Amino acid sequence: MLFLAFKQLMARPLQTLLALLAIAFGAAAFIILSGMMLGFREVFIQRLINTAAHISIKAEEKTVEEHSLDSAFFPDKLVKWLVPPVSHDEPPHIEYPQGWFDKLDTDEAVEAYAPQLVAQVLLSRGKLSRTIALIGVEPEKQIRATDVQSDMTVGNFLDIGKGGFQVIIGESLAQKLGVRQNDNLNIVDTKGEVRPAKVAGFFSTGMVQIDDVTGYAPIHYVQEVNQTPGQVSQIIVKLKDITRAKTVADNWAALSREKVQSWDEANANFFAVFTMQDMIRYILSAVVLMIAAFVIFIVLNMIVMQKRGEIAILRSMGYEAGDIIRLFLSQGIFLGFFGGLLGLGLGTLVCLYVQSIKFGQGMGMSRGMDHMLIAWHTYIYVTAFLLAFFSGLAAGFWPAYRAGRMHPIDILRSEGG
Amino acid sequence: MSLVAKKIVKSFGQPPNVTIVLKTLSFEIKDGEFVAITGRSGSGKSTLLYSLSTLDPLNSGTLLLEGKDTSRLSEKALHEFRNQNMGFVFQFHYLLPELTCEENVLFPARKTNQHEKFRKQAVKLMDDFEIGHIRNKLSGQISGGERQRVAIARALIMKPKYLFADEPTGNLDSTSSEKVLKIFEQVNRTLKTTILMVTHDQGYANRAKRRIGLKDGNLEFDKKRS
Repeated sequence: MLFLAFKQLMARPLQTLLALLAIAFGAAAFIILSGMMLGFREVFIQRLINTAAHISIKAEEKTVEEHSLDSAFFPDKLVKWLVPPVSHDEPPHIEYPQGWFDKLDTDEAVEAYAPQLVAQVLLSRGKLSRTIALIGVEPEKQIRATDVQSDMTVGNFLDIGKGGFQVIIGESLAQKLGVRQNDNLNIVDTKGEVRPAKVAGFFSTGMVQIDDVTGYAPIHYVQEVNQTPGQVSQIIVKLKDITRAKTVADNWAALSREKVQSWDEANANFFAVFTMQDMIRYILSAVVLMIAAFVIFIVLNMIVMQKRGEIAILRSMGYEAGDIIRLFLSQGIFLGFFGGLLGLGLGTLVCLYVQSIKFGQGMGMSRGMDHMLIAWHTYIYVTAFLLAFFSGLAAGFWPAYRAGRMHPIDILRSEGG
Repeated sequence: MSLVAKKIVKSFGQPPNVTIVLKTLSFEIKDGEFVAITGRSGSGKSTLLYSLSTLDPLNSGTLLLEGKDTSRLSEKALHEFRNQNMGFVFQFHYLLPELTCEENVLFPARKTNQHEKFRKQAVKLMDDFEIGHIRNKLSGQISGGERQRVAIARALIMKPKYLFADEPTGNLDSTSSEKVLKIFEQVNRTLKTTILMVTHDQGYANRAKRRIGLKDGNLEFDKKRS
């Protein structure tokens, strides 16, 4: 029956080509959408992980509720505040960081960790100024726990530990402030105290929301700026196996007062967007493939109706209902199979073209993101092919089943044979 | 004792609107006979042919083919029996338009993947039927008479014991019809194929060795040519 199925497909080249192209466009659409969406997403996530670490341990922010201070000021009294207290009682910090250090030093899941203290400061040079988050770090630990060293575009991250008040800032921030390596700038704390610092180098993560508003300095300097000697506001941890981040974070959170978050929990808002992207990707591809399947369905259904007499003669020759089903189903499978292959080729070509499209810094991207990012995972191509193949199979099923159910006598009588 | 029909009944519809088309017919067709089934339109000739060829199941009665009760054969066994022992020719040729004439002739042999084995037989049949020159043509490229002869060659490719023909000359001019009849006579004489031919043309019916006449589903006559 494959012989006849092939002959029938070749006998109507235009319809066959149309159905093949419809399926191919469906598969290609899936590949292109997936390649673009996942390509950008993966680089984004990678940068997010490498910058923010696998797990972050942060001090819980203690907020002062209306009756938080009642027992301290008016023990055993019912208090009605005219102006309820609302501010934080103190800057958030990890109460016993050494305990964490001891734990992380011995935990086998941990690859590296780095304590940090974040202070909001004003960076100024001449008349230009910017508010940034100045992250106090231990340089040696920081480069082991994050990819910050590989993000350096000018200078060496370890230079900030070589004495004096040295900072490393985002490259885009440096451009905005007009500073170069070894230039001096002023750091103004929240109380207005000004401290001079030397710019040791620049980094670029590729994410402007980090590069524009972040700087690094030795932790003891930031503690001095923040007037919180010895304090640590968070510890970032790099695990040996990132896939265990959520499990490890949950275990640690259960045993501590601090807020322990895996990288995916910390960026849950991004994942909600990704989930929506996935839905759009699948819905769009499904719509295109449904149209393709409908084209095949229409074509095969029309052929079954046109070939009623031939079905009757095949049945009279001894061909069974199963043979007739195979005759038409194999055409759907053929269209799905070769349409899928065509779609893989088409999708790959378009992805290669899209990947070659360059865009400038004006689009808010920076190092490593100067062109469209495409994911080249095998599973995208396997999924696209399977979607195309099963669309053809599903589209061919009903016409084939219908043809198989036709009784030769009914056909011969209705055709006047 | 090649084909025996015992009290066969065929009806259509559901009670109370039942139309009985074949009314308790009994007869026997011996190996190598050339039988013409005649009768007016609506007399049940085509229904009898389809019932005897097992394409249309009977409502009651017994049909014995080669001594086997066909009602006891499975659907698969009937398909196999038809493929190996029966050939069909209809008023319309029903050639597969995507295939060449030779591929059409060989198509029944494809069922059992024996088309290469039967290729020489196909060539011989087509030469015998004077259609050897159109072997590689598509059915759309040949005349109506040639199409019907290709259909007969297709029906005979598996060297069937029975050839069932339903108005095989119905769509042909007299010259082509004559050629078809001559082929039938030649096949019956040389290959000893049992032929059952439905026709409303008395002239062609008279060419058969035996004529069965139907009237309103009953056997009107059953005459052998002397």
